[in-house]
Amino acid sequence: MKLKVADQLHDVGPHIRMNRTTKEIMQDVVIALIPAFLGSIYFFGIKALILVMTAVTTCVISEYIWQKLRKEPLTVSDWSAVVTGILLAFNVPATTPVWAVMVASVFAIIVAKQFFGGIGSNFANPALMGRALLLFLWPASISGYVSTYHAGADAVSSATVLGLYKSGSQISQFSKWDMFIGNIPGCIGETSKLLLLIGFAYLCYRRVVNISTTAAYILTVLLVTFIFSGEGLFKGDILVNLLSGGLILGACYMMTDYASVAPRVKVTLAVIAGLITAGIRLWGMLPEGVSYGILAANCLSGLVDNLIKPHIYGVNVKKSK
Amino acid sequence: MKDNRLKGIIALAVVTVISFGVIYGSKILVKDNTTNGNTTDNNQNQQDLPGAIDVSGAEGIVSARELTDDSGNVTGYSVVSEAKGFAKPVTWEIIFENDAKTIREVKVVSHAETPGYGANMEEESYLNQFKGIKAPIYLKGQAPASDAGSESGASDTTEGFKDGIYRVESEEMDNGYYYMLTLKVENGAITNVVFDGMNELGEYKSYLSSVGKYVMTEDGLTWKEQADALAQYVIEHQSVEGLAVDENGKTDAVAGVSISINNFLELAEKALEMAATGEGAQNAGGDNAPVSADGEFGEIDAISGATFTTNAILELVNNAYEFIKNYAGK
Repeated sequence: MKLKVADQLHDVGPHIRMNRTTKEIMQDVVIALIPAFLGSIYFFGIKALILVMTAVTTCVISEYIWQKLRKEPLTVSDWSAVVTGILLAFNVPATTPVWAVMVASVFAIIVAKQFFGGIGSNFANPALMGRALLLFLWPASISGYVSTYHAGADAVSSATVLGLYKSGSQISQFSKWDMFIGNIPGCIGETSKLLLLIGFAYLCYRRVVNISTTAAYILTVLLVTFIFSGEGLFKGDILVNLLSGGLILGACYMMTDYASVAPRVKVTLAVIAGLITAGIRLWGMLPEGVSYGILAANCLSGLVDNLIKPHIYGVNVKKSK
Repeated sequence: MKDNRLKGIIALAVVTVISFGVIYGSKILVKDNTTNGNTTDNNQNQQDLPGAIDVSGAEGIVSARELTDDSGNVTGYSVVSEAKGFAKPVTWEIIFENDAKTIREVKVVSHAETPGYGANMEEESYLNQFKGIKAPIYLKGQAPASDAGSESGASDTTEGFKDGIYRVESEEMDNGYYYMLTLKVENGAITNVVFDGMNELGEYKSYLSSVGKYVMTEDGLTWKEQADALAQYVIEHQSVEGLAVDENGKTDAVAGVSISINNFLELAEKALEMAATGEGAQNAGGDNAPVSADGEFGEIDAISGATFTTNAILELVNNAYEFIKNYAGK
């Protein structure tokens, strides 16, 4: 019998079984995202709650309907669609229309995830694929950044700090502290680094993520943007690049996605994502670059997997005297 | 494993609560030290600082204070002044030398102008042009030839209109946009007309159409180009007569214009009525621009594509000058 692609991928062994289930891991990610979720409501009002609920609901329903139609085993209860929905909503500003979030959610689950075999077989982060769709088809729908402490459409339109920084405009109205706690314009889930890091600490405590991937990605972005700053060599503002955009959200919750396997591959992909993100920030049209950086690295995971051969079992074992 | 998770969740909850306390505390602290809720190092409530000047009754002046050296000698004045920008108030701090006339420095305190347009006021090169110039200020080439002026801002002329700037805005939203029109009269003739719309997000129709986010037709004029064509019609004809409209508010009188011009007509007629009587006029050098007693004044560049913002800056700087000149008795 001919195996499906997903089965072939899963069947390339050997595998090590863990006691922890996918459901437990996804629940941990959801728990870790709760502080940032509460922060998004605090900073951007009820519209943030509506967007997150819309994305989560649409993702879960999309997955359920697709698997029912395809007569596949239902995986809705593994919480992965919930994680996708939260991360997708976290990657859009508060002014994003609800319909746009719904379209992106359907695309993320059905096209980016289920078309490629569902959880574990998707080649790229579904949430970022949803965001990329909106950026490509309706860029205006996710370009309306607003200042904080307002509610959705009543908010004051404002450029992001990274956007101002890239254009050479003054950003002194935003203190580093404001950038750290989240009191700046941006996507609803990316602004509060403090709350994102609290959640990430929980994931580390639960050993859900490997900090080396996150560190490699962040350090690469910061190093390159510091060296090749628009203001001259070695003059980049490290804190602005670290705190003003979606770097922490991407590094802690999306770069750590389980798209690739071996630790060395993960770190290599993180460095690649970091180089692309930094390149976009420095020389690209967009001020951000996190989503495209991670998506590009996701696409390269197969190639890097092949280039970095794992050690043959037992080769590096020290000889006993 | 479950115990491990429970401990983690409890720790997460505790740290989250503490973090929200810190965030909320920051908001309270910042609120006490800001104007309009924006945080900068420059917008401290000057009324609490040494040398504070009473600004009650001074329109557009947020706060002011004397700047002194260690011996208590006045070395200059700081005035925080605001004026209406395209949507929200634009607030600047203007620091004058002790002659109450020469501008030492200006700082942007807060604004909500459009990125790429009015927000360009933050550019260092733009702000630097204020250093060392003498107030009152005018746009380059628009300074008065003499000290002529009037309290209302409108100057008598031999032509049909009174000199000045006339601003009108629609009172209600139409299809998601408020509309505004600025008409400028110099030497009795209309020399500039700016028509634009703004949605509830503060996005301007001219900007959205310029960057392809508000598309009329694939190959016709953009909304901004059509608005500019209508403005040019008024400048050429010095009236809106001849702009006949059909039942849909469309006109054939201006080539390439396919938008409904009802909003434009309504605002233009209102502005023309004001210009005919001089009612509500703002001085062409800025709102109520004071006239230099000694004939000295400064000239600045306009912000490209941001007439409203430029006018707001002229107004707030000249208001600050007028206030501090009267205070210092100079």
